[in-house]
Amino acid sequence: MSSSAPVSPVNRLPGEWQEPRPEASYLTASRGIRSWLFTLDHKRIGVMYLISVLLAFLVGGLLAIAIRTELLTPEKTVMDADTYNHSFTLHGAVMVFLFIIPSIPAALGNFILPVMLGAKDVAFPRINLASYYLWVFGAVFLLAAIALNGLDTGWTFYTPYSTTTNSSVITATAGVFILGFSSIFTGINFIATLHTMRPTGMTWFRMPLFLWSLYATSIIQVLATPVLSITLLLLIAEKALGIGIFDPKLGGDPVLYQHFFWFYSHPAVYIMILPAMGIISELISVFSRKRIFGYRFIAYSSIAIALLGFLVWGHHMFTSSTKLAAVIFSALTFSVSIPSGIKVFNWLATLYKGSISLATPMCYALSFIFLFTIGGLTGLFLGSLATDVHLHDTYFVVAHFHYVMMGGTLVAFIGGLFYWWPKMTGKMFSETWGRISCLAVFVAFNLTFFPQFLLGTRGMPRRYYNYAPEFQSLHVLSTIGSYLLGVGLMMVAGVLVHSLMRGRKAPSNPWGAASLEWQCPSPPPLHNFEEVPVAGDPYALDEMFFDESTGDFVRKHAEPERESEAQPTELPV
Amino acid sequence: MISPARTQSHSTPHSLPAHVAHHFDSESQQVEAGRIGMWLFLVSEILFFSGLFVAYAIYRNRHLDVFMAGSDLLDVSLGAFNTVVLLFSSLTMALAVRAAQLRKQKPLIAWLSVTLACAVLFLGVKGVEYSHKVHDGLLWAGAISSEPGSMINGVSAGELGSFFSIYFAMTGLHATHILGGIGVIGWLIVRARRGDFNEGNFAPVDYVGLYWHLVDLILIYLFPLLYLI
Amino acid sequence: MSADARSYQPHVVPVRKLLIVFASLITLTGLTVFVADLPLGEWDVAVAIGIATVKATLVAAIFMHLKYDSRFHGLLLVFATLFVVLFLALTLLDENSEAAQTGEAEVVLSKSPHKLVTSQMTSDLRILPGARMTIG
Repeated sequence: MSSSAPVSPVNRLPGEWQEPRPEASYLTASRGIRSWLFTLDHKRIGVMYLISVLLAFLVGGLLAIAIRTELLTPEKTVMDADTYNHSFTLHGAVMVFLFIIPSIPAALGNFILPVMLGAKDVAFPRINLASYYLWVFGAVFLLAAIALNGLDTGWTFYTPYSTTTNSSVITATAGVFILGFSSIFTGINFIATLHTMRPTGMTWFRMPLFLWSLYATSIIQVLATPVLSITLLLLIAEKALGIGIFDPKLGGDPVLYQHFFWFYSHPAVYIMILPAMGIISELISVFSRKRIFGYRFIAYSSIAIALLGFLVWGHHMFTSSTKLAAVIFSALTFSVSIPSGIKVFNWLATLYKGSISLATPMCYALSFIFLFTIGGLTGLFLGSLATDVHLHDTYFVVAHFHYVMMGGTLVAFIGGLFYWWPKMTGKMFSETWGRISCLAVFVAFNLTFFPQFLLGTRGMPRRYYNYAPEFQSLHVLSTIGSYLLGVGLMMVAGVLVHSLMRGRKAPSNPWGAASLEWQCPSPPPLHNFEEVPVAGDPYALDEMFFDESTGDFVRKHAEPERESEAQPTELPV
Repeated sequence: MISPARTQSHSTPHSLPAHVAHHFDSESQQVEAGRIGMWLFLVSEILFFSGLFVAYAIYRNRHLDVFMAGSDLLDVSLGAFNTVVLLFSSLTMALAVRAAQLRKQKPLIAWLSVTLACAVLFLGVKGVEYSHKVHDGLLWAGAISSEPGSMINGVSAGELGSFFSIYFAMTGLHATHILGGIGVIGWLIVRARRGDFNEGNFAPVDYVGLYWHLVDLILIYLFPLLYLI
Repeated sequence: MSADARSYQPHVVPVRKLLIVFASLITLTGLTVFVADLPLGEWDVAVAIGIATVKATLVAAIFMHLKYDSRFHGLLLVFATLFVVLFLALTLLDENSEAAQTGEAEVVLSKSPHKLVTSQMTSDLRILPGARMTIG
C-alpha cells in the first residue's frame, strides 16, 4: 500500500479512491426537497443559488434578445416604444441585481470558499440560508413588478421620472432593497469566515487569490449596499408619501439622487469584477502549471480596487455635476485603473514561459484577459472628462460595460463554473464541446458588442427606441451577434447538462491544482474533509504529479534524485 | 511532518459546550466570528443612515435659515428627555450583558426588561412629538400645507417642508430601529427565562447589546443636529 | 485556534466604570444643550458634532467594549466613519453652483425617461457641439 517515497499528510495513496467510499457526498447525504430547502450546508446553498441565478440570467437574456430584435430596424420592429422602455429597464435590473452581483460570490463562492479553507462551513450557515431566501424574496418582488405595471425608468431609477411614472417602481425597488440585504449578508459571512476560520498554515498571504478577491468584494458589499438601500427607501417614501428629498417641486434635488445611487452602483461594478479576477488568477496559474506572478501585488490590488472604487462615483455624473466635482472625479477615476492594470500584467507574466494547457477553463480565462482589457481601456475614454461629454449616454457606454461585465464577469463565471464543475458535481464534461462553446461565445460576443463602440462614437444614443437610418447596418451586425451569442450560451448549458448525465466520474484533483478544495473527494462529503488538511502553498504546482493508476493528481514533495526544477520554490516577496 | 494542530476530525465528539456550532473548533472562535459578524452588520447600518446625514448636510448647507427655523420648532425638552432615556437604556443593556457574562439569570432578565421599558417609553414620547407636529401641520414637503405666502417662524411653509422631510425621514428610520430592537430584546427575555444563558452562552445578549448601543449612537448625533443647532 | 475544553472567559466591565461612563454621557448631553444656546455662528455644527463624537467614543469604547476587543473591531468602526465622511465630502464638493445655493433648480422634464437636464447643467457646462447632450 505505501510508496517508497516519504508520505506527506496530504498525499493520496494509489488506489485509495477506487473502493466505494462509505460516506455519501453532500448531494446524497440526505434526500427530499425539504432537506434542500432547509439545508444549512453551504454547498447545497451554493447549488441552489447557482440554479437560481442562471434562471435569472435566462430571463435577462431573453429580454436582451427582444431588445436587439427591436433594434433591427430604425422604426418599430416588434414592439412599441413603451414596451421597449420596459424591456431595457428590466433587462438591466434583472441582470444587475438578480444575476451578476450574486453570481460568483453566492453561487461559486459559497460552495468553494469553505472548502478552499479546509473548513466545514461558512461562519454563519443560517445567515447564509437567509441570504438565499432574501434573493428569492427579492426576485419575487421584481417579477411581481413585471407582472403588474412593469418598469420603465431604466435600471438606474433616476428621479424625477421614477417618482412620477405609473410603472411599478415601488414594487421593483422594494425587491431590490431586499436583494441588497442578501448581498450584505453574504459579505458579512465571508469576511467573518476569512478572519476566523483559516486553517493552520494559511496566513493571509498563503491564501488562494480567489479568497482575496472574495474578501475585497465582501468589503464593498458591506460598505456600499446599505447606501443603495437608503436611496431606494427614500425613493419609495418619495413616491408613496411625497417626502420630497429628490423632487424639485418640493424643494428637493434630483442630482442628489444620482449621488446617492452611484455611491453604491459604482462600487457595485467592482463587486461584479473582483471575484471574476480572482477566478482568473486561479485559472491562469493552474493551466500554465506555474506559480502566479506577483502574488502580493494581486492581493493588494484587490483591496486597492475595493477602496479606490468608492472615490469615483461622480464619473457617472459628468454631465449633471458641477465642473469642480467633475474634474476631481475624473482624476480619481484614473487611479482605479492602475490596480486593474497591475493584475493584467501579472497574469500575462504568469503565462510567459508557462506550460500552457488549453483546457476549457483556460480558454475562458484567456478570453477574459482579451475582453476585459478592451472593456477596461474603453473605460478610460469615459473617465476622461473631455471625451466623456461626447460619449455619455451613447452606445459607447453600453459596449464598455458589456465588455467588462459580460466579457469580463460572465466569461470568468463560466470559466470558474467549468473549473469547479468536477468538484461540485463529481462529473467531467466534454473538453471538445467545452472549448467549442468558448470559441462560439467569444466570437459572438465580439460581433454583438464591438459594433456598439462604433455606434457610440458616431452618435447613437443609448436606450433609444428609434434611430437614424445610418446606424442600421451596425445594429443589424450587433443583433446577429446577439443571436449567435444566445446559441453559444445554450451550448455551454448543453455541455454542462450533458456531463451530469453522461460525464465520466471526476477524480479529486483533475486539474492538478494545489489549493485545498482539490484534496477532498469530488463531490465533497457533507463535512468536506474527513481530516482537516494542513494548508500548504496554494501555488506550488510543481509539487503536483499525475498518478496514472488513479487518474488523479497527487502532491509529492520533491524526491532527492529529481532535478532542481522540481524543488518547491520560495514564495515571491 | 504532520503539524500538531488542527488534526481534529469532525467524527469524534466535541468536548466543547453545547452551544458551540459544529463547524467551529472552539468557543472563542465562535464568539470572535460572531462579534466580527455583528460589527460588520453595524457597519452596514452606519452606512445605511449615512445617506440621511448626507442629505441633511446638503440641504442645511443650502438653506441654513430654513433649518434653523425648523429646529426651533422642535421640542428640545422632549428630545433631550428621549436622549437621556436612550442613554440610560444603553447603561442597562450593558449591565444586562454583564449579567449574562456572569451567568446571573435574574439580574439579566431584570436589566433586559428595564431596557425594553425604556425603548417603549422612547417610542411613546416620539409618538407624542409626532402628534404635536401633525396637529401643528408641520409635516414633510409633500404633506405640509403651503398656501402661497404663508410663513411659519420667519420662513415660507413650502421651504420648511424640506426640513421636516429630513426630520421625519431620520427620526422615522431611527424609530423603526428602536422597534426592531424591542423585538429582539423581547426575544432575549424569552430565551433568558428559558435559561438559555445560564451556561456561559452570553454571546447573543452581547450581539443584541452592540445593536442597541448603535441605535443609541445614532441618536447621539441626531439630537443635536436636528434639535439644537 | 486551539480547541478549548474550558468555556471562553469574556472580559467583564466593572459596574463602576459603566456608571462613570453613564454619568459622563448625561453631563455631555447637558453641555450640548447649553452650548447650543450660545451664539457660535458657523461653529455650531462643529461643536455639536465634536461633543457628540466624544459621547460616541465613550459608548463605543466602554459600552461596546471596543477598548477591550481585538483592534480589528475598532478598525471596522473607523472605516465605516471614514467612508461616511468621504461620501459627505465628495457630495458636498458638487455644491458650488449658484442654482444649488439659491435653491432654484429649474428642471426641464424631457420626453425620454432617462434624460434629465437641470439648471446646473445648462449654467455650468458650456453648450456642447452636436446633438449628443440633448433634451429628449
